[in-house]
Amino acid sequence: MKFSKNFKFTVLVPALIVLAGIVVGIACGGMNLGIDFTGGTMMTIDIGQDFDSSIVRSAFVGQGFSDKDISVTVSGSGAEAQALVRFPDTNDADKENEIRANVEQEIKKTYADAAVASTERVGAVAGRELVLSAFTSVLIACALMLVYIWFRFELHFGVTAVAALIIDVTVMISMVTILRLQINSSFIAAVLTIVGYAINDTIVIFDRIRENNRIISRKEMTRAELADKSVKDTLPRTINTTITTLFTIVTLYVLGVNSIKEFALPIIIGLLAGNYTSIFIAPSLWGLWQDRTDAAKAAAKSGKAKAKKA
Amino acid sequence: MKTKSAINMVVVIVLIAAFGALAIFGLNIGALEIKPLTSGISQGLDLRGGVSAVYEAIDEGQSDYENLLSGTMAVLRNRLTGQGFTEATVTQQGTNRIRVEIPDVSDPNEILKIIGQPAKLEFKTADGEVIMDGAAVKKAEMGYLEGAPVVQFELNGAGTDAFAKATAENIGKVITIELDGEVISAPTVNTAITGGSGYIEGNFTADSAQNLAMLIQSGALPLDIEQLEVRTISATLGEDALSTSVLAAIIGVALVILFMLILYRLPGVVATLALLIYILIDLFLLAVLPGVQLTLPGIAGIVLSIGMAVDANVIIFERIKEEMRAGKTVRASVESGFKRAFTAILDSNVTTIIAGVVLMLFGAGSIKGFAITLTIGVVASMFTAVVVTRFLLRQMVGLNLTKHSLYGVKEGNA
Repeated sequence: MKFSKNFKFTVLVPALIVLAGIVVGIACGGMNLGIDFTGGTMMTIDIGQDFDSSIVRSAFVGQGFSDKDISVTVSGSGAEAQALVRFPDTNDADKENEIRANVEQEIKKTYADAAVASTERVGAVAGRELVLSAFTSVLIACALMLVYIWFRFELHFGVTAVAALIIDVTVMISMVTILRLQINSSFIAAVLTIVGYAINDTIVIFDRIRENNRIISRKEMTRAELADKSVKDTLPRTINTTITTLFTIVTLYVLGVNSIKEFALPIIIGLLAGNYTSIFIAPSLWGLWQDRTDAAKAAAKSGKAKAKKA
Repeated sequence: MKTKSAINMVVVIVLIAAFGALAIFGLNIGALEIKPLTSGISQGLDLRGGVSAVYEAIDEGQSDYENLLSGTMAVLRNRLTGQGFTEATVTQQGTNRIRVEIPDVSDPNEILKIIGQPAKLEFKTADGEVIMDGAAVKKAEMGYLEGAPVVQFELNGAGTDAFAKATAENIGKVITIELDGEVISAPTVNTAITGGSGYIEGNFTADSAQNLAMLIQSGALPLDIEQLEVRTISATLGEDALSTSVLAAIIGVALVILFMLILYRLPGVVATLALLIYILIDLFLLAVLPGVQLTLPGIAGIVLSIGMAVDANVIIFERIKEEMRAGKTVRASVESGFKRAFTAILDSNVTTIIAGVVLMLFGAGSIKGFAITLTIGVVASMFTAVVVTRFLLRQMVGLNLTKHSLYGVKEGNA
């Protein structure tokens, strides 16, 4: 298989996903930001059966909130059905207690098993700081990884590996925007996981490229061809390592509670993206770039040689 | 060679079974008691239920700010202990934040209101002159006076003198006792009080008197604090999260083992043993390392690291297969396969560890917990892959289990 020959097409896949993410994002008025970012209060209510969300909504309207300030999301079904209700911050613990008790009582009139499972109250400042700290952590981690790979391999490897990682993260953010999943601190943790993990596959392939690079001369094959060969050599292990990780994380997604699901799904997306970029993008990018650098070097050399002759 | 390898294998399997049983059930023989490992792992709030709150200290510009902040944290800690929440934690976050986590709490808002109170106590004369503040109180406790709950207090030396002087000068007048600027009691002085003790009357219930005594005893907050966020999680939600995650982990591990056995045969057995050892090491580290708390993202980190732990084995086994296909004997393939897979395992794990450590240092709250479990997992998995898997595979070779088909490679290829 000629991965590097088809680079133009393989790079289109993540590009299209990101484009779709931007389109959906604009159409739906941005990303679905959780209260970690917007600030406000989120109440999770176990209902214990399938329910009509307008009943939950009216219970909150009865507490003096205006209809447009409340958002009710249905999560799970049957015995595991939950209502996730967001409403503006009251800034008053007593008032919140009162709302909690009243709303629970009101909903219980229709659904006897209803019970408030959790409440979260977050100021908007904390969310902004969370994003900022996550962003700086990713930047620092990427920089350090680049330096390490540069040190252990070469600069070209470091740059392409980190570029692949950035594609993975962008694809994750785009997919979450398309699927309208809530962006909260769990999602940030998921992104950070992928930053740590997705680079693994790339490194394992780069390790083989490094090895082949020593054995196979540039006369025998171009570096792009060498990258293709290395990907092919290591294909079983690249795929098998992803499968074993998917076994555990997909089981977690299928069986887990909501808060686990919202963490597991972005990770699954990120794993697949990471696997894709490790096979189709990072090695080809390295090979094509290396060939270009080689050609430039050769041109400079022959230019010098000609100048000497003249 | 063969007997030695056989003995080694048996010893390893017996040890795994023994430590596994120890980790799950614990041990209790006479004076020797070992608790199950799982009970030694402290659980985060999202698993056991409870409340976490983040406070921000106002007036950051003050000199000696750091001392004031740690003083504030100490007061919060005292108040929590005074309310019976001995397992609550108070930690600093950034430069001006304080994070309070209280497990197993039924009425979170109530307790947060109490501990967040500034509790500035002042004794004032009728003219508004301050006689002394809460710092002069040595001891405060709830008591009863004619059946009504009151707060009894004892003053320190300076407080006793000041109070004696003030009461002597103000006989027949009112002395007000104010908490955070609000008058809670305004007794009229009948005689000079020189003994350094007294009581505060007010419209107290037993509970409110108890709370006030606790607040006075713990002292005023050196800094005013503002609540930034509060998260409450019911204990049942946490229990569900834990039990389903554990079930998912068991099923996930079973699937991984099955996959490895089918794909790699004999090395699959080795990978299974190595994986079990890895899980034991991981649980052990989680239980004994200080400050490690199991949170929901943390569980995901562990489950993920189980999937990753097998990665190193896959890399090694695929390499061994390649070496065998290239015509080497099993013995030679195992040795050179290990040697050649090592750089890939080292470099890929080090990059993950770099990310993990950065998250540990810069991430906050649950992200930190996750980064710790992930990093522990990666380090442990590197150890099992490089040391344990290698040892076990050598025993397999020592047992003369060297038929190619046992390694998932067709005989004809050799």
